[in-house]
Amino acid sequence: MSNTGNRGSLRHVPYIKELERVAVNLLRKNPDSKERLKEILEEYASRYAREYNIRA
Amino acid sequence: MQADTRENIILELENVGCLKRLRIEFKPGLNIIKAPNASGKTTIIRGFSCMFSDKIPPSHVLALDELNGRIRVHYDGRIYEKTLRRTPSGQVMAQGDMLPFTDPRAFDACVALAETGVVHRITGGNVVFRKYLEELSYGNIYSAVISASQELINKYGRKLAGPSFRNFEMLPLLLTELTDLHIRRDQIKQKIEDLKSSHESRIQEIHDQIEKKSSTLSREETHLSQLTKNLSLEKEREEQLQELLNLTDESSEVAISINKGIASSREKQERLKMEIESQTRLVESLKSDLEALRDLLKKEEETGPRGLRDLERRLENINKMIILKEEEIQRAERFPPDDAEYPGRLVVDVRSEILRKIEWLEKVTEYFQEKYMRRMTSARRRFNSNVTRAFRELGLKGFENVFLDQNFALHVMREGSIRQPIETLSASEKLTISLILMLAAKETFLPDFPLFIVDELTLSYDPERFWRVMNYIKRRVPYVIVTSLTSSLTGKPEVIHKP
Repeated sequence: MSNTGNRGSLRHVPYIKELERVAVNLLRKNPDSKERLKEILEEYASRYAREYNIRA
Repeated sequence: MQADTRENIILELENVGCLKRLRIEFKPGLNIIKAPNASGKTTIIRGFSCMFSDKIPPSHVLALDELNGRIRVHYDGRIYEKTLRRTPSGQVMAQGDMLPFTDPRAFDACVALAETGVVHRITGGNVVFRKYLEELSYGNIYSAVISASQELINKYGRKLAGPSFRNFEMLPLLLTELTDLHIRRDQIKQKIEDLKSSHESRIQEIHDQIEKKSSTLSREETHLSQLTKNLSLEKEREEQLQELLNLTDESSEVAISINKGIASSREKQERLKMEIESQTRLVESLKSDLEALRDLLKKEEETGPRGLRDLERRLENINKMIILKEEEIQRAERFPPDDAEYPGRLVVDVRSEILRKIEWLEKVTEYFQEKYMRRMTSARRRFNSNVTRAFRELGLKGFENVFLDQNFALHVMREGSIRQPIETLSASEKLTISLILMLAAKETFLPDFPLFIVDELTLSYDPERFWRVMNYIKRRVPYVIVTSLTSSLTGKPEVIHKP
């Protein structure tokens, strides 16, 4: 578990707020949408890999 | 609390459970549904719950011998209606409205049905309570994201441990092996060159020897020819002297001189013959040497450099190994064109992409873990605070407090701060604590939800405890609905209202 020292950096996780909103909406409507949640996470992870690889 | 300004809720059921048709009215305050066993009290609760929660399957609501049913609720000046239909395959479908305060958590926090195991929550240990608060505080959403992220991290980890990426890890070794093969090939090539060059030198050397030997032979043959010629001349001279001697008086000085000349010629001839013999041997020896050299040359030319074939075979093998190694490297560097997931892509690119994904998912996991912890800690604190207030206000005899510790284990504290194991509580104490915990959960997580429903959980209460608990709930929730057994034989559920 992260300590408070990490909070600042965690706020800067790319797309995290957007993901949080999408995940909360999805799971509030249907708590069994685990597969769709994984698809969403994969989409964001791919986006991160694409965009941050270019930057790197 | 706004009970005084609220309107009555009217519930109409048609073909629901054992009820063909029922119209029932709930007023703000306490509503006690009284009926004997098997007359539809729990059916009313289930039917009503269908209008604000999807936790009860429609098949548990529609009457078993009916194809269609209906639930209608009059609330806040509007009518909300849901129809139930049994399909030819026997499935029951529900369609229609939900009440405006619908919440998926309401059934767990606001409907205390004996069948849903309200008591089980307090006897089930910290895992059950943690899960309960997780669901009510939506902490389960965060744990679902954490769990999904970790599943994906594991999935990507397994991918990276797969054959394609394992081969890629071997790439430095494969490149070193290829370099070694190239070095070995160059060494063999050099050996072949050296061998060929040395062989050519050897051939040239034999040629030189042949040339030199031929020249010597030619010279010696000339010398032999000269000797033979000299011998012939000497023989002619002797013959001439002999003829001259025949013409001369034997006793004369001339004859003596001629005889001396003949003797000298004969000596010379003997000497020449010996020389010729020796020279002939020399010439024969030279010819033999020359023949041997020519044979050697022929043999050398025919057989070529010694060990060349073996080296050429080794070179061929190494070339094959280099081709195989290059193919292996190519396979390690790039996915095959027919790969289902990454056709023709460089492994290094895909690997880097997957590592980036893992990096992001790890950050997501950490972020949601932190959120989860904060949410759950806050949920537990607020929940404990509501439980403490309830116990204080209810003033239940013998109890000091009930709370969840950091591990979500329930502590029941008797007066004098003595902890009582849950399993040693009486049946009515377990029910009371369960109800209070549920009400605290409702107040913590669904403070604006207008209903609290208790189905046959108060049977073991004495009237004093019943009213004390009910009055406490009534002060906090606009509409409280409680089912209760009656000895009436009419069989029809009736609602008694206590404002």
